[in-house]
Amino acid sequence: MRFTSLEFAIFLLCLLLLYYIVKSKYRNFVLLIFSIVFYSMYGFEKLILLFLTIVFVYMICKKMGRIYSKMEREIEKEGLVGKERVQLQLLYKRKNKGWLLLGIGLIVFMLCYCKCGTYFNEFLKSVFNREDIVLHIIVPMGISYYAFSCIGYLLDVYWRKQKPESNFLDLALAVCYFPQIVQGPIARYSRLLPQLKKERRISFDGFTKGLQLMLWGYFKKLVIADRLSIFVASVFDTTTEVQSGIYAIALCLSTIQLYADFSGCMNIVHGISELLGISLDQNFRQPFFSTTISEFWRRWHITLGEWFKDYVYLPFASSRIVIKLGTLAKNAIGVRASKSVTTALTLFGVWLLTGLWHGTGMDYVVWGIYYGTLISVSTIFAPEIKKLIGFLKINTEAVTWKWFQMVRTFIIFTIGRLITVPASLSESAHIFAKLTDIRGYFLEKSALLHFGFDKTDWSIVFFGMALMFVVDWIEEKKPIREALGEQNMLFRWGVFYGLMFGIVFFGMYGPGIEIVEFVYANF
Amino acid sequence: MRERLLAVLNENYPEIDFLASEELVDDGILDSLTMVGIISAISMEFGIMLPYEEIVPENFNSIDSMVSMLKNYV
Repeated sequence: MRFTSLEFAIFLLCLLLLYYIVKSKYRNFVLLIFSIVFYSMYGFEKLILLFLTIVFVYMICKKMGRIYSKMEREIEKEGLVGKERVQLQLLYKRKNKGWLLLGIGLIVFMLCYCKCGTYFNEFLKSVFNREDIVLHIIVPMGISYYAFSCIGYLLDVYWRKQKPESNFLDLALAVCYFPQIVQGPIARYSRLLPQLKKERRISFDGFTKGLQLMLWGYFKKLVIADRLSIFVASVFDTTTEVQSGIYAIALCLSTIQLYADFSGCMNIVHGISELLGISLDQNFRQPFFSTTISEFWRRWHITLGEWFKDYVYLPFASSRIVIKLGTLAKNAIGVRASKSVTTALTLFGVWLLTGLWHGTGMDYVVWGIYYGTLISVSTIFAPEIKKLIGFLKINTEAVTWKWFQMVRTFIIFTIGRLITVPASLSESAHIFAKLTDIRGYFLEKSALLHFGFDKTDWSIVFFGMALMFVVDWIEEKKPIREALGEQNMLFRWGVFYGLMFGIVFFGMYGPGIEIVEFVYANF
Repeated sequence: MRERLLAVLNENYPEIDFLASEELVDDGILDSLTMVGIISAISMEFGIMLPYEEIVPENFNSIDSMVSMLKNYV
């Protein structure tokens, strides 16, 4: 059930009616039932895998919690402090390690089975030389999101950063909470569970703000992203030769399409959640205003970046193996060089995994290496880059420098898109070579009026993109809904009606229009 | 232990004045990546392993809080 479908609108209306009518203590139950109904629309067998995951995670965390409770009792009984206390904590942590590995192992196995099942099927076919071997692989919707949330929850309990949830239904709701399960954001149950436990009051102001966010999300998705996808798909799917200028424009537009699609989806998700009185973690913070690519990844798909930082990068960088390697490197090549080695190693590992999260093909491995290299180099050589900027007497506070940095970030990200948007890596290499053809940038007037786009389409997307830029620019300075709230009623309603009419008249929906799935819906 | 720790920190992070604040993390002088770097430098110097859960702001806000944490392991 897509967020842009009529069925979803009916589903949401029914939920809201029931949710507001029932007593506060029954709201979680209503939400859980509706979340299950929502998820079961993708297939009943997928629901079973989700249910099993919740049961495993619940039981394992409960077990770890019991072991830590025993530890607490022992500490209290013996009156342990300082070193003795830490030693006992480490002892009990070791006891829990097996449970943690079992929990993570099960989830990772399920993730690998779902993501790499087709490769395994091909492998079996080649080994037994039989074409009729067909594995029935169930890929639960949103598995990459809820699997990561569950791993994070297991680790938080293991590190004693969070108490295990004792109420199974509350944990089940946190895992399968329908606005976020299919496309994220990747939830931290440590922040979501307390919200589910407390009484939620929905004010009129909160309700209208939720609706505003949803409206803006639908505008970005239906008016900008889905229309742009026509041009982008036509350029990259065509079998005829395309001029380098067209490729360059299509690549830049594919970046904006992805942003409008994914951030639009997040606006809808956050808006729905606000209608229910639940606040979800932010996933975007005007990423194209970033001055470096590292900053960009702290503003784009924030929950994924934070997850990798907290559960992979930091634990790995402070692990025994990296510290031993650092010690060896320090003795052999000095402090600075050893720090560089460990930084590069950990960053590469993280970016390779980030690539594999997005897809298991070679294109995503190359994509991971691309960002791993860029971010490692910029981190390791930060002092030299700073010196060079000083030597060149560049005023880093100047607006023009900031704009240059923002454009540079956009180009770096767009090159990253070149790795994954075309159908294959060889196609990417072909387009990359083609982009060096300077003559192809001199386009005829009518060159852009092919690939499924006419003048009206261009006018709509340009207006839409300009509006998106202005909104992000305001948001960068002040929360836009707050700024809008300070305006006169006439202006506010003008904006809302403008957006609504924009969606109704220029949105890509209805008979004869191909439905474009949300880009991040199939992870 | 305090002097030894300060020497290690100054060697690894000469650009940071660790005595400048009692709220190094809360003031934004140290971020989580620097805290991991410090954990790594301390582990190498003292030959110990500090568990990941020790990477919390209250253990890194000042030299004294780092010494207190360290005393539990050395």
